[in-house]
Amino acid sequence: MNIKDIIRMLRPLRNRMYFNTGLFCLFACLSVAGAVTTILAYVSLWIPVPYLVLNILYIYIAFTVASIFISILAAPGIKSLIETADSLGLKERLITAWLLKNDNSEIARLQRQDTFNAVSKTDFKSIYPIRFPTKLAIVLAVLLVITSVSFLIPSHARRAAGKMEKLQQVVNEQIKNLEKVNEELKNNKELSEAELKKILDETTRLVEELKKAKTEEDALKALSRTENELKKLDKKEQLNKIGNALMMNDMTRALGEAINNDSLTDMKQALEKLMQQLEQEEISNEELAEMLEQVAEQTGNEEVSEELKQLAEKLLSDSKESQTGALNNLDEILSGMMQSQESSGLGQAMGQLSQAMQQAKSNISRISSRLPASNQNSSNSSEQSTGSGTGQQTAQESSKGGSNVPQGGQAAGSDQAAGEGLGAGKSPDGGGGGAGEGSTNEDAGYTGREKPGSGRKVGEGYEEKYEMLYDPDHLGGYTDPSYVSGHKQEGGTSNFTEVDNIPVQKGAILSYREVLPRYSKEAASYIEKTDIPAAMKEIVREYFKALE
Amino acid sequence: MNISEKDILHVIDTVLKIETEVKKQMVGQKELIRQVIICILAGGNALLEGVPGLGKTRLVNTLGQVMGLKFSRIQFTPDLMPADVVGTNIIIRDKSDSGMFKFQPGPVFSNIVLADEINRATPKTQSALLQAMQEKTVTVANTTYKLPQPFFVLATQNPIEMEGTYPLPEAQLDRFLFKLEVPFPTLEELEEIVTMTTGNIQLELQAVTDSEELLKIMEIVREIPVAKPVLDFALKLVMATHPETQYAPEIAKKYIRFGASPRGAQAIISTARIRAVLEGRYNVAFEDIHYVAYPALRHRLFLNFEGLSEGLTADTLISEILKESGK
Repeated sequence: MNIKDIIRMLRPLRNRMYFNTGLFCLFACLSVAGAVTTILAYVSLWIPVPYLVLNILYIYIAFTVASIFISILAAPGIKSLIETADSLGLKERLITAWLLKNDNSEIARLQRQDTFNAVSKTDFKSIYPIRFPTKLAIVLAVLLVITSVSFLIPSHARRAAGKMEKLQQVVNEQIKNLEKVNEELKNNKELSEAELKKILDETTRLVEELKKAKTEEDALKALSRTENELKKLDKKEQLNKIGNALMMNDMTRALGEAINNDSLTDMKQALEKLMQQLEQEEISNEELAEMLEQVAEQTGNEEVSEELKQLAEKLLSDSKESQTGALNNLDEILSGMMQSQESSGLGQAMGQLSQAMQQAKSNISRISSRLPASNQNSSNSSEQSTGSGTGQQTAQESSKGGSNVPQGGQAAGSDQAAGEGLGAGKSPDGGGGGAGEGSTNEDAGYTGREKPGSGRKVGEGYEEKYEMLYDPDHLGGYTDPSYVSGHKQEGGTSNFTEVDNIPVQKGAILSYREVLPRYSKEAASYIEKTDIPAAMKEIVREYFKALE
Repeated sequence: MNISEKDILHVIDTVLKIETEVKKQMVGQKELIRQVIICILAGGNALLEGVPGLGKTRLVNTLGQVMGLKFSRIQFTPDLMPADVVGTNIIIRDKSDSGMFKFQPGPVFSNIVLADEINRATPKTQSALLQAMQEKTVTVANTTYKLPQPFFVLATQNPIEMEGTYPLPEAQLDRFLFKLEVPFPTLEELEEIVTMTTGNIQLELQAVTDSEELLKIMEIVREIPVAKPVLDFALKLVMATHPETQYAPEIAKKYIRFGASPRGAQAIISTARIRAVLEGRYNVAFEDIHYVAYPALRHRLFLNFEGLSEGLTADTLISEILKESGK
């Protein structure tokens, strides 16, 4: 008889202890998980927590796994087994036998025999039952109920979390697309090392920003920022900007057109003509220098801008040679840009990237529209905009200025077709952007020109360029109402608002950031003065908020 | 020492026989009898405390007969002298009429000494027993005499009649292995006592053992192993009676003046071994410690004024300390 025989007989007790410990650990861990998830569920009513259900599930799984590990670690040791057995009526027989396990004296042998007899007579199943942790189970059940109740409570944060989930999914998809494009660009032999590096740096930064983006606005801003940064690399874009800027003035219109038409010959001719005019003093060098400075400000590329400013300075000098030299330099700069635009594979790369980013923008901006109506942030008037058909909108705009000046208009209307959209009014020469019934804050940045009466789905406007806006000198003044024609179908409703005080005075093309505060301020004061539904006011506020 | 199962069974059998024989003369008092036997088998002295007429003297007397031991009784009175207890040298004249001193052993020279109403003797006489109780020897006129083996002192005292008594000093109390409280019998037991003692029935007592066998039993029970956790428990229990130690619970710190001496720990372990054997075990359990803690410690705890004024007893404190121990 040795101690191993005795310990072997304790196996049923050991198994039961193990099972009880495991059961206790499991319920204890699940209760802790329940407490954590309850807190999380209620916190998510105020703070958006994306993937809440999934997170709750993960927490329970994590704690269950933890309980298994704890149970394994908490396997009853021999000492604990012996102590438990002794406490069950074996009266310290086991601990004595264990301590005397190496003692071969007669009394130790007798003691072991006595212990063995006592253990063999003991029915551990009856004296050590499986203990179900009832209290912990009740606590867990209560916590589960409390957590479940939180899902019945409507919450703004929950809806926001839903959006964040969608955003994350879309962003992840778009990141994959961008990475794919990046891989393709790496294989593009026509790209110079510097260009590739710049592109990769920008896209890497974009990916990081997209990962960090908490709202669609963040993601869209990141995309726009990257797009702008990449555009600085795009010679064609720069040339277009320069061309557009030059076209603003009669003096340089021919040069601008030549640049826009990518015609090197025309460009050279236009420059020669400019030189002649300058020599014959048909145009003043100050005027031309001023023009170049304006162009320099709008190129968006610091290097080119600096060079153009230097040329403008040279033009201001009294020396005819210096002035001619300046124009020659301009010829060199423009020729260089046009040639490099033709030779480089950058255009192709930019096209790929632009496409990828446009797609990303489009997908991100559609997030809200994919969500159920209850999840949308805006309390728009989609309910009343039922039916199908093209929207009919009426916009009132005031128009002043020459025919070559882009005009802006603002309209309010409802899109019958989708029940949500943007009403757009358009004057004959310009584009107008405005929040119509059902538009949401996702329309931020939208300045795209709309065809008269065309409805637009939410978010579509992000795909448009919004860096440059028409900037009226002031808002206000009396204007004639203008009507945007549309076709109204059965089952739909439409409304229109005659909008007074519309900004339509001669202005300039400026960065939208400069224009936005004025628009925002005027719109805010207007909606306070006008009798329009509160929900509409909210849409307008959200619109400008998003733009900001 | 090599002991066998047979030895252990013999111990149990002998104790049961002793108990059976004693019960012929003693009605009730089962626990008291068992505790006195445990104390004797541990080789210790017992102090029996109880009001007069509860059978203390009868118990000791009966035990002496049943165990086949030489028994003597000393009735302690205030005029009892130490020489009356331990013996003295007396002059003896031989045939030539020359005198010589010869030691005349006192009543202490027995196996079982009943020191009846020990608190009635003066401290001087009481202390005459000190050496006998602890060292099992007596020194008279520079000569040390060994007392017969086994040697036990079973003293009695009356707790209520305090006038003209000399409470035992702490040092002497500590020499007693157990202090046993003799309870008043129940109604049924009382009826049986009256019936038995007022009739003509005379039961013959048989000696079921002798001194040699008792010595062997005492040797056997000392072999019973004590596991470390059980020993630790006993030691911590004793430490807990000392208010200045970390083991002392709040109640001990508040009400105890002095705690038990190391003799208290010795008493617990040695008697717990016997209790384990009598329970049919080959090891000491926590419950044995619980069982012997009261008689082994109650006369070793000295309550402070606060404890006494609140009417606490040593047993109350022992209960609290045991409860605090969690075993």
